[in-house]
Amino acid sequence: MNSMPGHLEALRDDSLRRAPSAEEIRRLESWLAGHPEQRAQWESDLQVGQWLRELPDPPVSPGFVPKIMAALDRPSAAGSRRLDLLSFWRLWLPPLRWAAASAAAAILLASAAFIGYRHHQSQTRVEIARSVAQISDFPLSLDLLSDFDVIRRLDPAAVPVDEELLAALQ
Amino acid sequence: MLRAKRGDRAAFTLLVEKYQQPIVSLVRRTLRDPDEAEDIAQNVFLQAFKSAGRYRPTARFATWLYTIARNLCLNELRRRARHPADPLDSAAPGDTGRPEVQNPDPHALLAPQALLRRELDAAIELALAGLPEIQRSALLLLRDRQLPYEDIAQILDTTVPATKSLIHRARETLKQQLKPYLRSGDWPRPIRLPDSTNPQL
Repeated sequence: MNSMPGHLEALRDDSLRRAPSAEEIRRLESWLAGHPEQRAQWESDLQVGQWLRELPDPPVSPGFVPKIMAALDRPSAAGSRRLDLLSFWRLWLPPLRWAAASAAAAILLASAAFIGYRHHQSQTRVEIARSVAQISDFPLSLDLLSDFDVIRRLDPAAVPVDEELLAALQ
Repeated sequence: MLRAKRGDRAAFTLLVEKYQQPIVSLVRRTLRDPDEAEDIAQNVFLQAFKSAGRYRPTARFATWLYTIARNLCLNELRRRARHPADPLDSAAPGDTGRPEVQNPDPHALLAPQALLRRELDAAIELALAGLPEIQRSALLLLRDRQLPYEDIAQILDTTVPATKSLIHRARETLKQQLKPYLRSGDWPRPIRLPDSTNPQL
């Protein structure tokens, strides 16, 4: 078996797909003359090969091809509907895209303005709250108001400088 | 195929007519359910038409088609494995051991010979059905004389040496399964080797 020529090895496999030629049989016979122990093996190989080659194919139904062609027509109808949808989107997508982009930009601007306004509002509230807190922390007593009437009666034109105001108070 | 790729229906019809028999044979012997096999075989061609845009002329059309067929068969076998209780499986003719085969010329053989031949064909179909899927596919693809080993290897997603090994193992298994017929003198012989040292065959 080890000394089998390559063309005979190939013949063994090829015999599954085609009948050996007269020349191939002659070569095989000549080789088998020197290797009689291989004869049985070869005969069974060639026998199985012939059986497989001659094995009838399963029948194909007569409607096989028409069924395929009919099935091809069905998807093509769906395909044309798909194409219609596609052309619709191709037609309307650019203006729709522009409108969508404009709307998105408007929403973005409005959001930014709103956020800015809310930020400004909250800042103002914080400042007012801070001022109120300062006033509320100031110690309020009646002593502070004891000279209130004197000060109120003072003529601002008559007391031009602080020293005179101090003297007047004293 | 290039014409079919451009949407030429007539060209595609010719391709279907040319390849319907080998594709149906491969699918049916793989799935062993005539109705389902025909549906799958039709899907092979439908898929080929739909994906014609991806077909490259560098690959042989038959190789491409067989690859689609085998992939669809493997998907179906996987589906069956996931749903073993599927009633379709029980209807497989291979289970009965008497697959329906088409005799190419029933009148060419005499009645007893025809009966013997039918029995032998059934035995071969049964032996083929018992092979692992990849070995059976290798053997069936080898029957296509136009298909080189490289293409068979490509369809089986393996190498050429591995393909040859698969074919060798498949043939050895078939020989074992068909031993009773090989030893019988009733069966036709492929060659008449003179001076046979093994008259048992």
